[in-house]
Amino acid sequence: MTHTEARRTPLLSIRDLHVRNRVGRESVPVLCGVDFDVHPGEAVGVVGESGSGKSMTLRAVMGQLPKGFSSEGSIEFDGEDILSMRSSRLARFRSRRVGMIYQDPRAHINPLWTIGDFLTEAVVADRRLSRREARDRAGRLLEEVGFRDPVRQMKQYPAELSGGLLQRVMIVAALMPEPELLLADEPTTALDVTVQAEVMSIFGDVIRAHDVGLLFVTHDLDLTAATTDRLVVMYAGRVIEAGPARSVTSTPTHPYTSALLAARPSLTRRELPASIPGTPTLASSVHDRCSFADRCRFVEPECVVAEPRLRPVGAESLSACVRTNEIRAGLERIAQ
Amino acid sequence: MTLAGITAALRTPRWGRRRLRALDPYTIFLIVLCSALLAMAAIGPLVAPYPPDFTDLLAANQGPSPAHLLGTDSLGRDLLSRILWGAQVSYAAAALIVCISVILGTFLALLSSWYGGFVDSATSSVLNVFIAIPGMIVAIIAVTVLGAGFWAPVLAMAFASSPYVARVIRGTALQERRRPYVEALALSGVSSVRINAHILRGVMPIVLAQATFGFSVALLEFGALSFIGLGVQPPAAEWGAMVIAGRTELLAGNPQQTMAAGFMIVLTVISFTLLGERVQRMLGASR
Repeated sequence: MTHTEARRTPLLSIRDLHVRNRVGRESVPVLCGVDFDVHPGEAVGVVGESGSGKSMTLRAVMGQLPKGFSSEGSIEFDGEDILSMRSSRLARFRSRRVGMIYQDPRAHINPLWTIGDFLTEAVVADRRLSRREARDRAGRLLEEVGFRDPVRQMKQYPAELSGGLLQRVMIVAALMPEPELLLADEPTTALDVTVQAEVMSIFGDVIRAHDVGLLFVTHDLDLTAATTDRLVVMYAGRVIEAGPARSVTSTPTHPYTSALLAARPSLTRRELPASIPGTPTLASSVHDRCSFADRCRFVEPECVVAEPRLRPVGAESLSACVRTNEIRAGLERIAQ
Repeated sequence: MTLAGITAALRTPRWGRRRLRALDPYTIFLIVLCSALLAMAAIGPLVAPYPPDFTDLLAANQGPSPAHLLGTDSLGRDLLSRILWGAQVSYAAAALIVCISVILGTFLALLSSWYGGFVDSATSSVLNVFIAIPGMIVAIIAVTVLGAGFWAPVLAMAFASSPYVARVIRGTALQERRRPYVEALALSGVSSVRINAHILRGVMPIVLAQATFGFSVALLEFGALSFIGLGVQPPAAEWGAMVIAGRTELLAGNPQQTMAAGFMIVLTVISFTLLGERVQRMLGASR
């Protein structure tokens, strides 16, 4: 398969994903029409504030929606719908084709088992590798993410490693079954800033070296933009902008993205970051209007009569703002 | 990257002198005491000066003397020898009761915490019913049906005490089951049996503490059964049976048999209970 061909068929394709949570008699929307693709070997960052539905999207991809949540739409992985998979098929999908990296590595690794046991357990239990092969592979991968003495490290317990080192162990664990897609749920949030940068560069290295796709959920725009190929910006359970990471951060096409970018602290500017007025909108409170309309400084009467759909802007970007083309020039001015 | 520096600082021995030094003298004393008691039971028959049922009627009801360090009973049997031989029976009974009840209880606890929901509430309700029935009564019924001796009371008491173990461990297992790493393991395709091995490793401290406590309780209860004549039958040596056998001689001024056996029971119960408490507190602090 040539490179361009690979780009054309997505590995993961989320189409019009709706997730609802049943609270008592009512059914509250959590995700409203999430729509994006991850191609083989591509790194996609999903950003948005707390409650925008980033993690819920990830849970849906893993087929791990909490009790009481129901979904509509489709999540296709390599042409197969995850949402309609039977449990045994789903378990195979989870254990073999995707690798999951969690926010808090210390909580997600059994503290009483050694690193070596942790890394080899799943693949050995799955009978895909012998114990010896698994240990060899774990050792090689540990070396790849920066461990100098993997043989000794594998005899250590999680408590003996720092958070950054443990997150590397987690990355190795996710890579053990040779997955096609890595799912990372805010993998750097629990780490120090300097360690974050190290871990992110490791992410960049491993996805290139192993040619895996990466779906990276975070609320750190800068960090994501530096590592990922494409950015998906979510707000109130919707995708409001998507496009190449560089163009999204340099020339955003949605007022929310631009406000988000303006709210970043900066080393070079003296003034305080600009906060977005108002409070985050709940997915359930939006009906037939733009989800960001209440907080948007470019709001027009047409914004509150119908929900704007994602539409192409330029060659590669998508935006869900009715005034995108009109105000793009203005946004560019503000971004500078 | 200062990885090498960080990892060098973490080079600490997991076992050996450092671990031992972390124990306080009191705990070490209890460990030594309990080990000594167990060692005594193990090698007792080898070092006992007389066979347990060697009678010497001419030397009956003697106080302590160089020939009989703890004195003799009404049949002239050497009490030290009987204590040493009896230790094996008493400890074996207690150990068997603890092993069976802990294994059974832990299994039930893991089962109900793993499946949760209906399985959990059903198991818990059934166990609560069993807890309402005193273990002694179960043992007495078992002896009535199966006859007195060693196995009937041991099995009956093992089954009767397993609900207690199950209830204690279930709580900890539930906590362990809700920890994020369990979900992570499940997602990575590890079988539920293997995941339960992880959970078991997590609740092992509580299991050990329960077993240590349980040992003293079992010893006391088995002794009590023998005391009322439902356990080990004479002439076999067993501490509980020795206490009751010596009772008739108490008022005649020969308390040595009852006192020796009673003292051993009390010593064992106290040292194992204190050790159990200690183990539990130590592990509680390290959590």
